[in-house]
Amino acid sequence: MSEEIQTKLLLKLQNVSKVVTTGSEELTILQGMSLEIKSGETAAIVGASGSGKSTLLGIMAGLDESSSGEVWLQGEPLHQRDEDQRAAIRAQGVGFVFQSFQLLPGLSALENVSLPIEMSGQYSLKESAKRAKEWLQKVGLAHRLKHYPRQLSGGEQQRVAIARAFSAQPKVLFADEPTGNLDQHTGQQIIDLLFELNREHQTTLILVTHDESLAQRCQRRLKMENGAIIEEQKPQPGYGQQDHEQQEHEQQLQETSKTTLDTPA
Amino acid sequence: MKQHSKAHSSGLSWLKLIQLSRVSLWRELRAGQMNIIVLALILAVTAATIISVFSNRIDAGMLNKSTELLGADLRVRSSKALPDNFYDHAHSLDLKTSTTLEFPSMVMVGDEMTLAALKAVDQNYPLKGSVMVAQDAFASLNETDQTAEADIKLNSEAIHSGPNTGEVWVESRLLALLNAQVGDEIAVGRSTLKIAAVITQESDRGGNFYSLSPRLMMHLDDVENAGLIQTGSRVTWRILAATNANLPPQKTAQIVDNYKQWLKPQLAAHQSIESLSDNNQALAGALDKARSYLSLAAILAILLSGIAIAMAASDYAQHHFDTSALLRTLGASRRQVLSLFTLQLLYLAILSSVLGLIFGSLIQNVLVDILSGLFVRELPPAGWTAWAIACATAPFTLLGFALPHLLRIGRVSPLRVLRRELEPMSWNSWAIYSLAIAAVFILSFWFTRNLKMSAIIVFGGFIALLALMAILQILLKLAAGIVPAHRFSLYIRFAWQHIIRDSRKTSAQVLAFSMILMVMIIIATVRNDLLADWQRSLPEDAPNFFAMNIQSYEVEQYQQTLDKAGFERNPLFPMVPGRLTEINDQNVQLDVQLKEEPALQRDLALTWSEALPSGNRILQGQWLQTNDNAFDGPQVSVEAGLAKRLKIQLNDQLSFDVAGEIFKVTVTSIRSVDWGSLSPNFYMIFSLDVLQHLPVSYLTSFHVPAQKNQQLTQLIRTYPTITLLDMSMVFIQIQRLLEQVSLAVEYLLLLVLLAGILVLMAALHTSLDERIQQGAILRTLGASRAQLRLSQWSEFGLLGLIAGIIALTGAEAICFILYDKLFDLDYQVQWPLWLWLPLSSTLLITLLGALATRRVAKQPPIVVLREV
Repeated sequence: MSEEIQTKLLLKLQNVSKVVTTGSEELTILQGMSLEIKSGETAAIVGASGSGKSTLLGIMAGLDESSSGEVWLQGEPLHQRDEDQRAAIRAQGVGFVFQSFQLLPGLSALENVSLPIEMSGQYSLKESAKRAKEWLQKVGLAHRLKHYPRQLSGGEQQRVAIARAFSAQPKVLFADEPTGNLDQHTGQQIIDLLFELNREHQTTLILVTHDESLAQRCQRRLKMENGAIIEEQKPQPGYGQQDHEQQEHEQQLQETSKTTLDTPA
Repeated sequence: MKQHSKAHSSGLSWLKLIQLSRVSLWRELRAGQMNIIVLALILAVTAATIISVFSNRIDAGMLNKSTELLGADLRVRSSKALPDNFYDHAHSLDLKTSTTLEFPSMVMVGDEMTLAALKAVDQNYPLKGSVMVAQDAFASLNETDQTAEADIKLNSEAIHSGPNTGEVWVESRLLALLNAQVGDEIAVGRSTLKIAAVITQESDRGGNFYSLSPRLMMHLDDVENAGLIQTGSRVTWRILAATNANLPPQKTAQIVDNYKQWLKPQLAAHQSIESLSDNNQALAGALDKARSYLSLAAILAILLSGIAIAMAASDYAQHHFDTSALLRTLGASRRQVLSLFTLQLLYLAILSSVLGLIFGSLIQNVLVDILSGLFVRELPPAGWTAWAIACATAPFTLLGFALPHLLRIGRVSPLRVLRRELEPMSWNSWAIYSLAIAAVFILSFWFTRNLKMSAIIVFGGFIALLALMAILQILLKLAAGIVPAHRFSLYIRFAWQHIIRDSRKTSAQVLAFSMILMVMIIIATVRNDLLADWQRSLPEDAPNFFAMNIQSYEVEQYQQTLDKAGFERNPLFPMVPGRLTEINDQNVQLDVQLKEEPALQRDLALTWSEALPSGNRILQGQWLQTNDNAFDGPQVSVEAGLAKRLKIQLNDQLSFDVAGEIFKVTVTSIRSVDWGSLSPNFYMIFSLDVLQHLPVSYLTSFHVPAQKNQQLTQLIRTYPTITLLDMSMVFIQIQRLLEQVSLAVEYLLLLVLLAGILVLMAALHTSLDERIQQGAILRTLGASRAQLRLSQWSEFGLLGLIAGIIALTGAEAICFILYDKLFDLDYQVQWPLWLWLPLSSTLLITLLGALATRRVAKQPPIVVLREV
């Protein structure tokens, strides 16, 4: 079954460009980019600030429009869809985790998580709340259901965001610097949680990061520079099956690298 | 490197600080981050300038108009020639003077003879206003149908002087009575003078009942030759005093007031100072109300500006917490940080004051241009106080409304650099409100010099709104428990939760919306009722002639003649002249205070009536009762104003001297009278049994339509003994003035409404960041444009609905007090408004909200999220 999913194409970019005009100047952020991501893959887009990786993520997720080229997500031609149609696609199978969490400040943790469940239109209010509660339990926030975002720490807020992202059972999850606003320890916990849930739910994960160690945990690493992918590491065969062991191994590696890295040169 | 200015303990020198504040302000302006606050401030100053300067000019224009009606800035009246020092002191104050002398006398043309009201004037007359003269009798009547035209081509011309020696000007009705024409010779005392023209309007004549006889105006120099004045003649001398026409109104008022203060202690019992209100109550009342309206518009405009600035300042503070924290981290002291932002606000105040003053003066000039054709003379320029107030608006409202928010910036903890959620303590909300109330109150009092109105609006308004806010918070809490929100669809529930959750934020928002709406409702309601009141008091067919001295045997026939001629008329009222001599057995002439009252110096027109005349309203007691009721003695109903001045109360005993007979009556009611209506009005109305046996004459008023002078001349000739008082010119004058003032009122209404909508938009903008971010998150999660709109619009709609209801409640309360205390109008709850106002406020807020948030639906969510 997992092989079937793996072979199915989830995302396809063909010759995608993004040009923005600021004042009289034209700025090319992405140039003629082509890319394919299969169902169940985990992919990291890495690169320096300003390399265009966040813009790429926005276009892949249908949050932004490309200037030219084709974007196919789950068989849907996003480049031919208007904002509302793209929203409907997002509601059905796309989850997001942002660097700045982007929780709704007026809603409690529980309500934040149950919102996309209800928006998917498949569950009643009561059922949505029940599921949201289960999700918050999974991310370890069972005791924080009624808290508002401003009453939660950064790590807790990101957990809520992760619970929200998975709660609508997305086929693909986009994460934009998910640990960017967190300290290293909390960031590590968040990453573990993200990968654990991802494996459990067979979700395709596409994340943007400049954190090499985070990128290392993905099957594919796409390195960007000046609006183009300059280097790609292909997935290792059987990576998905060995995931758990591999992860543990990686974690150890990271612990050691962290200590070495932390030592001043 | 600049040299070190006063070395400071912390990291920033003052010079650096000033530089930094200038540079950062400039950057923020260029980046458009300050758009709202700058717009709000410019709007405030523009509105304040327009209303301050415009209303100052209109006010001065109306003052001009009213001095025209007085013929001077001030008039002193006396039954003897006025002493020289009255003239000398006036001249020493740079006041010009003129003397007039009025007395009744018989005049003759050929064999025809009649009593005329003579007025002798000197070469300086009139100091203000003019005398309109024509060559034909009843020329003024032909103008009544053209009152609506702005530029009336009168058949007569305005003359700024009196007749020459040897000539007289007379009223049409004198010509009719004497069967004479312009050019005839007329015998006045021992002299024979030439009738040179017909007076169609004597601006300072007024509509006094007691100028019964037709006017004859002559030169003062001819009086002596004619041997008209003997000892014991009933004469009225007047000094007219006026400043140079070029002086600004404030200066004029000051000089006139000086003269008044000097005069007061010198006045003998037979001398008095006359003001417009004694002379023409209908007009004075209308002018007073119009002036009150201008003041009201001014106060409300200040209030609007204040709200705009408070919101903008709060927004400004919010956006600068980070900068403040950073500066503190870098070593700036709290005082320095505060100074930095104070300096920025100061620059802003100056910038927006300059722009606002420019815009404001341009717009008010356009308004004045539109109106100036309507005023007889050009509107005088505004005094410096009007400009001073406009200039003070920005700093003053900034101080009152922005300071509390500004001080918050200084309190930001440097720790915010690390923990962004740290917000400085907010001021005690009572302190914020008190400061704001004080600022508005001082400004509006300064603006209007009207303590009563300022207090009603500012304190009444705040108390009413705070009470309503408290109720709103309680209701929101209750609603949170009661309303079955889970039954709502997802997006409506989302909107509902937003409103319910943060009841403080919701209340603040509703407070802003409802204050703005309240201002708009008040200004519109008062305008409607004011115009309706004026319209009511002066309908097209309002009586323009009074007929007096109708004898009992003529009543029937006279009525028929009027009806046949097609003149709309009032009922005929019996009238007996009599004097009020005693109140509760106390002689009124012995009371030092009371005897000043003009109504005690002359005969009053006493009448009786079974029914309460139209336009009258019982304020206390009961209308005259017939014998079968509790009270069956002789009764009288007293007009409220006179009762107040003479301190007459219910059940007081009044004694009247009527043709030598003394009557004692009991006061059984106090009555208000619509003095604005040109109908016969009476201070005293007796019960039927008291005066009926006395010789009585009747009076009435009727409307002569244009082009019916033939019938009118006929009427005068058929009933030569009946005195006819031509009010048509007064009527035209009042109507024209009211038209002008109504137009001014309309423009002010439009201005305040426009300002209201702009401030409303500013209010919406301050909550925009959060709404836009929420919208973008919902979009990211897959909400469609329609769903997002449903959610946002229903939230705006609900806010609009609540704000509308609160605003209406507050407006009704304030209008009730304003009408009672200030405008002297009857207040009626406007039920239809309760239907359509909440509806329209819902629509308005939704519409403006939709406009403000449309970006969320249009732009890709990632663009929006990146920006906020």
